[in-house]
Amino acid sequence: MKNPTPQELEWLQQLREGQHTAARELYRAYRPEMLSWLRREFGLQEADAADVFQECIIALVSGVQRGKVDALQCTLKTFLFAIAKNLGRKHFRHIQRNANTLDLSEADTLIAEGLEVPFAGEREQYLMQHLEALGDPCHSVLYMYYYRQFTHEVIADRLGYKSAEVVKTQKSRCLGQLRQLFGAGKRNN
Amino acid sequence: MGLENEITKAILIVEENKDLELLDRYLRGMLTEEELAEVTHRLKDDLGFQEQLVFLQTVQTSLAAQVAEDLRAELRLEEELHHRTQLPTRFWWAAAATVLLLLAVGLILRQALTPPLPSQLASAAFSPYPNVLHSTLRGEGNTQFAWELHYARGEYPKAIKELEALLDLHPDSIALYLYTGVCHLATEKPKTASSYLERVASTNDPLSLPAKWYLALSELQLEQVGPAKELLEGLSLLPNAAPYDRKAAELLEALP
Repeated sequence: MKNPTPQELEWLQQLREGQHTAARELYRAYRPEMLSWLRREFGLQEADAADVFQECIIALVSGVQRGKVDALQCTLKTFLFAIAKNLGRKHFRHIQRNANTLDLSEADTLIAEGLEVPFAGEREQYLMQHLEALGDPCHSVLYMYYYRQFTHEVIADRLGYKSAEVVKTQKSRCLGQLRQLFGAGKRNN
Repeated sequence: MGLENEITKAILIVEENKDLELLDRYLRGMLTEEELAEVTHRLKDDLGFQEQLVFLQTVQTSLAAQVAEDLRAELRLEEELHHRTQLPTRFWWAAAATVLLLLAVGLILRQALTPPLPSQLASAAFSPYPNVLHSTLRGEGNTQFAWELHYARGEYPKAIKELEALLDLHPDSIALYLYTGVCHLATEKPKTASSYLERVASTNDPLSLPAKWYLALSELQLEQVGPAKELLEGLSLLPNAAPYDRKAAELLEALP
């Protein structure tokens, strides 16, 4: 069984730290192989295959940054193929041609199947606007707590707050402000 | 009455904070069995509590969707850059092949024909350094990407403008000096190019290798064959200097 290569481990570490450069490097590195496989497997045009591959990277990054992907038991490339197969099956079931052109028996398929592309419905789109409007420090505090799943202690350390308690108070205040904005906006609509 | 109100408000805040802490831990799957039973029970009957949970879940999903949207934009730009660089890459491969062919023909006819001027050889040997940065610095408008796009399209004067603005922000960036020097060389301003490239060539950075190569081309553009040969000889003898050792040796051979 293969493990991630040193380069892949570095990319994973960078993604965990929130560096999107690694996602772009990953995209460049595996684009040719992945696009050609997606075109063959699901009969896609290049542009559609590129879209699917982009969604795979987004699902991977989201999973890594939310702590859903820890130690991989396969290479990152194989893992990406497993995500692609899963996403492709969901979206292109009707045009799927050959389901078994690639051996993915070594992939962490269960983890791959658990990864999803975060989707923003109307309510989320709406809240996103208010999150932007809140600005910092609220945006950073909420991002670190609710997206990156950091503890109050880690946030205090990263953002230079005196203690975890101060972060808790700040977070609660920010949620209050956001709720007010969200509620007021909904009433105006 | 006023004091009573204040006390009631304070109690409410404490209660809300307790609920928030409970729901936060619920969302992270960190509740004890007892706490989980309490939360499950309250979610059935307490509308305010339910709303609070839905709100927190929406915050979570919104933040994730926001990151996804930002990343999607970056990957689309990556895809766009891929397509934009395809054509120039093919062009430069063709140009490189032409250069090699010209060099070969030049060598054969060397005795019979007048040798080309050093500046002509430099122009023929020039190809822009590939963009290996693809940076993602955010919060600086589109400046960071703008020079990359201009560079990929061969719009060197525009790229120089963006790069010089970036150098004001990042005066220690070796890579930015290299790309600015290459752009000046491409626009036939070898003297200005040299001033940027010398700064990179004098470092121990891996980019000092291409910098030396382009510096040699700048010297040839200025018909300064001596200093150019010195740089090319140095490159051709360096271990692990591929592909510049080979390119330098080929150019040295073609020089008078």
